[in-house]
Amino acid sequence: MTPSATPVAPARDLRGTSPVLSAVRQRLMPVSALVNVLGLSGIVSLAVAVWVLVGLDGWSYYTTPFAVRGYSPVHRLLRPSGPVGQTLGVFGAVLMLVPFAYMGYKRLWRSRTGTNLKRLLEVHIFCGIVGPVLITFHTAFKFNGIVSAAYWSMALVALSGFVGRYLYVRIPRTIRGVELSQTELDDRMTALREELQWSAGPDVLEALDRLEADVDARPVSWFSGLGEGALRRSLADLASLLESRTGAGSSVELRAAVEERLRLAQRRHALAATKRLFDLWHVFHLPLVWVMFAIVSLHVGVALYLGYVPFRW
Amino acid sequence: MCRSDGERPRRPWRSLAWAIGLTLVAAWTGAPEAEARQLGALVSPGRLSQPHASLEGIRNCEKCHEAGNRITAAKCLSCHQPVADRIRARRGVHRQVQNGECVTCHAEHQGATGELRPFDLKAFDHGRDAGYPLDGRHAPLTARCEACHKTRSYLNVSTSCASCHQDVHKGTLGAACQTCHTTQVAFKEGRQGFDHSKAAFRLDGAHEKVACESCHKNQQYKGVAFATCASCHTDPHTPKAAEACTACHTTATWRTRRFDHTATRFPLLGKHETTACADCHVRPALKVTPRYDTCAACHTDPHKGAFKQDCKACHNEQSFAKAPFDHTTTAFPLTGKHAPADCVACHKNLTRAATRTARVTPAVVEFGGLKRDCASCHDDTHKGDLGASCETCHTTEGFALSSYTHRTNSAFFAGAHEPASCVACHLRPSPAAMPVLTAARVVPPRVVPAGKPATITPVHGPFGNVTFTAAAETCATCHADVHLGQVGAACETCHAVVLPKFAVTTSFDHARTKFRLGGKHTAVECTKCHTSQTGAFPAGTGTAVRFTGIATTCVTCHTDIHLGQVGATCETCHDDRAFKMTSYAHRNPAQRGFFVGAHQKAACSTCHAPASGAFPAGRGTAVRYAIRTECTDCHRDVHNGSLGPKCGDCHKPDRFAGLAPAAGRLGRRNAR
Repeated sequence: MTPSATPVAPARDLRGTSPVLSAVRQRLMPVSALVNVLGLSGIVSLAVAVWVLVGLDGWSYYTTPFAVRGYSPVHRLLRPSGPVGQTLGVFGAVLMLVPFAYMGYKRLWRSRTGTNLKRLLEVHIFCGIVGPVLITFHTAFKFNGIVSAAYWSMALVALSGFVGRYLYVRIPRTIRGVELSQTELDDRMTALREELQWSAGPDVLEALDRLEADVDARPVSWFSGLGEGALRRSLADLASLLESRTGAGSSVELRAAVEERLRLAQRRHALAATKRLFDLWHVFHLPLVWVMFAIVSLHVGVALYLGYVPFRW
Repeated sequence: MCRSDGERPRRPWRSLAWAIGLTLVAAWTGAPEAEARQLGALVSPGRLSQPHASLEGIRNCEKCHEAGNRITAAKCLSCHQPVADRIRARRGVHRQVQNGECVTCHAEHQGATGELRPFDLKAFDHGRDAGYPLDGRHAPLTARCEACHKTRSYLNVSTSCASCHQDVHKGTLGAACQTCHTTQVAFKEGRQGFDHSKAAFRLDGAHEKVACESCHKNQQYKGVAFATCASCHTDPHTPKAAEACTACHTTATWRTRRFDHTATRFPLLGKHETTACADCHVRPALKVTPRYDTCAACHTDPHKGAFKQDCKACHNEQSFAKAPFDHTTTAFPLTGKHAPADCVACHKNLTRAATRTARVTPAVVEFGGLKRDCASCHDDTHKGDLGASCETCHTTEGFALSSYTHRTNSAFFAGAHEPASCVACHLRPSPAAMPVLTAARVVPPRVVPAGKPATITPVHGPFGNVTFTAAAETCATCHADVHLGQVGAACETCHAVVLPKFAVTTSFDHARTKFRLGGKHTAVECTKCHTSQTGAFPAGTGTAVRFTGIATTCVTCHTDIHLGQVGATCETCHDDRAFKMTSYAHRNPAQRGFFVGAHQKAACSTCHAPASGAFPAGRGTAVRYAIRTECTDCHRDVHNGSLGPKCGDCHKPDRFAGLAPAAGRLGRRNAR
């Protein structure tokens, strides 16, 4: 550690001493948010797939040519209008309606404090993954007519959801999913800086300042992942610096505060571009939803009209 | 989207997004332009199969689908009327359909190449499922449906033959092909299915095997002439036979004759009936009349003219070899076993005829010149010993002497001697070669006696190599003395020939011997005393039942159970009525006063008890008789010696009980 002219404040434990502790303690949504629901969705989808493909011998059915598939032993069960095929379609459609609740909630009952938006988004993601899987088995991999447009729209919507999540978690939010305003963001960064004045050494502060200056100087590009790669490298440098230190100054809290300050600096620098990209994503995501909804309504309407009523085989 | 400042951002891309979305909708439908014009293609789950291609289009949905009821069978059957008829009639592959949905088996919207009819060729039974079994020559067609079903519908094919086959008869025989043809044989073998008996000309015999084309030339099956045989056959006779063909021929075969030979001067009898015509009619009968007045006209005389009389005197038509010749007309009538003998058994194929000419055949037989004596045909097994009058012992009924009766000493040849074989007694050359005869078994000799091979002639029956001679009528002539000289030569004293196996007579009087049998000895079996022994006998050393030289003492047969205590004079105490001794009186005068009172009444075993130890005859176990007479030898001293050993001072044998009742109990003691 290089000696400095200015007196260095001794490293302190952040807990219970800092005046801005409450702001620091308030956790923000991490970049790893919503990963659990992705795993849960994958497990449920896999279970459904195994049940249909192996348990019901769907693999042999779906690999049978269309011309003779009608005479497969499980055709009566797995055809789109069959007991399993139609039930999968109904449940898949219901699951695909659930994301509308999230959308409607956001649009009709916007609130910053009441509902846990993150939990709603998790339900949104779960239904948006499992639903298409059920619908896929409902189609029996036979894509004909206009309803196939609905299917492919659904597929694109679902795939684009992964991009949306990538952007979503890179806009600073509270742990409950409420987006931070510019003022809140600035206040939090200031609080972190003040806290670090007391807890981090001058070498750390110097390194942090240098890295933040690099962040601000770096141009934001959509194609560079909004500077995520550079941020990851800067965080690695900072981590190696902190690991070289020993004693109280190497506490977990100190490291978390340093990394959060640097990450927020990067997010704030790319915030405008991220939001613009997120808007564009909505423009792609939402129209496909409406297309899907319209065609599926027609599909369901025709099916009901012709007597293909759910749970009546 | 939720924003912290509540301002809705400008959305310059929204209209562009909608445009892209709608463009994608149009592009992702994937429908060709021609079909895109049909709205039905947009809502259809898939193209219809080729047979239903005309039903594509949204206006046609309800031709199959029924609003609210999916697809009903009524909709399908309104078009598929033939199938509806078969379901109603319970025929064909749909015969088991019960209010079913057509879509259970028939899947649509599977694309233009989709197969509407699930068909498992292996499980399909054309007879069961289509009502027309493919059997016989049709069987290979089960894998080639298209051979008969030219159109897509399987219901358009008729079961009439003409629907698949060409009528080679050009309609002349009608449409009922199955009258002549079956599916089991090739078409050309149609006659196997045709019953010609229904035709005006029935086929029988050789006609049944003739190919149809032989008569039905040029596929002409109607109007074929059949009134006469000449309609098909050519007359081979020259000149032409005047009678109808059927007078001589039948349909069984051309060569079969039906000619009635009885109408001729030579009726066919016996073996002549089965003789082929050509054997006699070596030239056409219609041209040359064969001779028939003598047998030699056809047959060769095997006797070479030896007999001048007619052949019929010995032969007839039934058999040449077994001629019914009456031998009683000769000087030697055939009786007994001579009757069934073959002629040639006596009338040998003599060399006189054979040497006369080398051309003689084995069938040439000489019947004259035979003698009538037995030796002219039979060998004398007795080599002249018994003379030439064989009939004295033998008859033509058999060579065995089952009926010979000895004319002297009839009592000797009765009983066990009666069934004896002749050779058992009449043997030569010497008694040494004779078999040992016992009452149990006769053992005839089986070998030629040494030194006499020239005199031995084999005879009939089981007694080969034996010659006969007169035998003396004594027992020892034939029988060996099994008693080895003990009882002399007068066997009849004990044995009788009238008893089976020369059993011993029951009248033997043992009183004539030195040992008269009395009491229980009379019931004892002879063999209890007269046992089989090996040793010296009057006739020499050997093994025989011992009859003589047996001692008459008891110990000869009985064992001394007293081990020498009482001597060898058993009769002192025992007799032959029963071994058990009923009473005994002690005879020793010195002890006369001892055997009185209670001692006189005591049982023998009270004092004389069995004991093991040394006895005069050696060590063993026996009742001991030599015992002492001291009181304490038998009685227990109830005074425990307090009054001394002289019991007689106070007690007497006849008064012991009255003196002291408690002292009267005998204490049995060991005699020792």
